[in-house]
Amino acid sequence: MKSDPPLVDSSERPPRWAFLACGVLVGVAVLQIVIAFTTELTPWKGGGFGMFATSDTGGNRQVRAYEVFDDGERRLSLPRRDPLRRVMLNHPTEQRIGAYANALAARLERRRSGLQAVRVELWRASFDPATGSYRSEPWHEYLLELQRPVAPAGARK
Amino acid sequence: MTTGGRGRVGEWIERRLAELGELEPVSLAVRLTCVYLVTKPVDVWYLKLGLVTLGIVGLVAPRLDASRALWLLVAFFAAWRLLVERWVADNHIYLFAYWCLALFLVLNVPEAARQRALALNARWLIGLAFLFAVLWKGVLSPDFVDGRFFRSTLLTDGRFRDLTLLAGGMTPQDLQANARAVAQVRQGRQAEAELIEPPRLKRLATAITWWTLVSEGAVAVAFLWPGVGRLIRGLRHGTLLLFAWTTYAFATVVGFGWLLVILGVSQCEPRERAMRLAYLATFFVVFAHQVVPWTTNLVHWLPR
Repeated sequence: MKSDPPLVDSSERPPRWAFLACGVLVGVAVLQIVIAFTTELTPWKGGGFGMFATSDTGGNRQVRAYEVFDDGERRLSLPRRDPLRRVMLNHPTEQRIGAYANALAARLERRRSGLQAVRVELWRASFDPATGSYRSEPWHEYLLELQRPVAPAGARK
Repeated sequence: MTTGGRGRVGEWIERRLAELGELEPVSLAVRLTCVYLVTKPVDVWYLKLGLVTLGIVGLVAPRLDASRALWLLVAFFAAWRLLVERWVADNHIYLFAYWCLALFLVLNVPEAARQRALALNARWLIGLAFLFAVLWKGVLSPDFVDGRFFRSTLLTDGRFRDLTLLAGGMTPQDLQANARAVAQVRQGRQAEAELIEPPRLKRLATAITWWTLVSEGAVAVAFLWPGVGRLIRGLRHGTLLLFAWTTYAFATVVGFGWLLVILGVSQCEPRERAMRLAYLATFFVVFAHQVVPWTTNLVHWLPR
């Protein structure tokens, strides 16, 4: 195999270490493929150059969360620009969903009395080419039961 | 303006273009990369502070722009950014970090081999990035080759709004109805919603699917092909510029577009002045595509 001629008036070959960045690119991209196939990392992220290759993007993954009381549950309004949420949607793991639920619980416990648990759901939306419809399906569910349910407001000192 | 005035302006432009043509590839690469550093957003404040400061130093202190210490720091901050944002960073953030590392290493190569190291790094980074992009699209993804991805994207991704209006047979009312339906599903108000999809949009999705595969595949092959001749060099520049012109007119991702231009121009020798100018014009065009809403204007101007 012939190599490229020098770009300047010298035939000196660059040392191999000068191409370390290309090696890192290949290593990271191969690792990303492995991670995407063995976990739920979206192919768009992780440095494998899978952007615009599949509809399974962070944008088609949604999170819904509920605060659970004795008498039922209420859906929470979630901030969209939350770094924890972005990471969780792009690469959900049990640990990350749990951490997200814990962060929500920590925020809620200060102001909600009677809170028993926090429930987090991840949904995944996709396009069905046969029917031309867009639909969302449940994907993950995580229930964080609070060990010491927050006391009703009247009982608090 | 007088003829003399035009003459002076013409001379000034000619001199500047000549200077640009004479710039060493390494100098041109580091200067454009500094422009990228200064203008591209970084979410994390301390990384933004570091990267923007280093970019400004590189731009305002010409003696420092090719300093190894400067590029070691840039590579360090870029790697740190990747560590912090590894699960949310777009692909070009990764490619940018590799490029910064490559620049630092190239500056450590003996002078006589430096330009060659720069050109080969740029060439292989482009070739490898496109190789993996084609691998994902053509082999690993379950929904790209059959056209599902672009059908879904054209119908649900607002970034392609103008393209669907121009070439997909959609009306603004159709798009609004689809956007409402998608929002209902994403917010959990309904489990499923039928989307409006004209037959022309299916054909457009098929065309974009195959154009993307062919154009990205051509870039990968051209840049990884071990050829040495004028033809293969021309093919490399031609496929990359064609990709940039066609892709970034609609997908306004300035970061990736600029980076590809920087990597492309780093492979041009000073004597390839016309090609350098073509890349620099593309650098501007990619930026202009984002700030000038030409596709939106076209949608309004064209008779329906």
